[in-house]
Amino acid sequence: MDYAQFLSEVQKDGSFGSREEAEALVVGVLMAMAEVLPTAQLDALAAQLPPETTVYLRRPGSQPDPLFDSHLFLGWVVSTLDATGSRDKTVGGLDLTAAYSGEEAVRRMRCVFSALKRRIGPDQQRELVALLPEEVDAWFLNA
Amino acid sequence: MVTRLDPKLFDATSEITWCAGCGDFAILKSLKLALADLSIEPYQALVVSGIGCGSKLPDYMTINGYMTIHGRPLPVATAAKLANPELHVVVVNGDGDSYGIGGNHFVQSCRRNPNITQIVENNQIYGLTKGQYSPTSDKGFVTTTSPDGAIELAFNPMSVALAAGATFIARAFAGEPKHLAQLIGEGIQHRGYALIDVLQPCVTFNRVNTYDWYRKRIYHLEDEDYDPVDREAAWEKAHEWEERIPIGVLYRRDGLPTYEDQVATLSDGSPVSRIIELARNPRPQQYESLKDGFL
Repeated sequence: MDYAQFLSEVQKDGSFGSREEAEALVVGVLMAMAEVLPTAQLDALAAQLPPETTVYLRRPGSQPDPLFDSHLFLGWVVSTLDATGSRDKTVGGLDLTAAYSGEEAVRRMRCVFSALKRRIGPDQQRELVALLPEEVDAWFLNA
Repeated sequence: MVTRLDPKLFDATSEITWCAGCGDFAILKSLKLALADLSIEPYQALVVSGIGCGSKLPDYMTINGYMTIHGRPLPVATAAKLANPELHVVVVNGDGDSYGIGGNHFVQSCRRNPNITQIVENNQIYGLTKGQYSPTSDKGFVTTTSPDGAIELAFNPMSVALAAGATFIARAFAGEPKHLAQLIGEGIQHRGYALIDVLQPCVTFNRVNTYDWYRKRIYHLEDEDYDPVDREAAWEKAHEWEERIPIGVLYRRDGLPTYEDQVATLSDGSPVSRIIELARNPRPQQYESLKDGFL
């Protein structure tokens, strides 16, 4: 399976300007998945994906953190966005640029999930949905 | 047996304005969980904060909350503890509020050993004001106020706390909320000043110290042959950074008297308990003498 093809699908789907941008996103999403999925599911997922991604589907601890939620999941993705490049739109303490970064992160994450879903069967997809944190499961389903 | 409370008891209805993916969410969740695990009801605890993104936290909980001016939560928390030692007092503030603007209070709290817990949301940047370098930013860190890179050496809260006499020093990672909740619980149970420095990525303004950056470096002290009562070993661990970053309890010293233990005026009861007693049995002259005792 071709890693370049995988990245190209994500890049095209998300209309990203560069392959590097798509790759940073893929790495962020896979590493977030590694935080929440049990080792068996990570291995099963790695078996379906290009070998270059295997390194990101590893977690140092033996068990996933049960408190890891959608906010933390998003954190791995938002870090890859350029959310500070825009004009400061601070209103009453709420940075609108930052506020929209969540929506953008979800949009981008769905591009990776779509590429993943094209490579795994329905049973494995159902298994993943059951294991992903609340909200993230819906993002995966709707990708 | 202690009955564990439902963490939802601490939920609030206020709109959370933190950026998506902010490490503060994990700190909020872990604090609620730790309090619930210890069966501490919202009315039995006070959360004091300063100014900054993370200092909005008391507003996002159903709990007694006190947002102070910049850098001042520690003296306010100490005063609250003196007034009512039965209250569980937790300070939650950022690295700028705690180690910069409130740096003096931080050092004095380590010396005084009040029975309070301080959770520092250490994201190595000023987030609320849109990304200026903070005391814990690494040397060379480029921000709007350090375009050529931060000139100063980063403030090391672990070694300063140890040198100043803190009796419980821990470090956590917001990306591991279960471990964080456990450390907060231990900090609250510790009798004395407890510092929990939480490495917490600012996903919007700090593009260096990300979840990924920390994940590659952190390791658990619990997994090593490490004794947190060994002060010299703690000193060594306190200086580990960049390549490997230890999380867990770096140092603890139990059995020392707290600040409140040593305040003579409190030997006749705390101001709150005495005021409650006076309200039940009004005696005006005693109220005046109680007031005089604390002025």
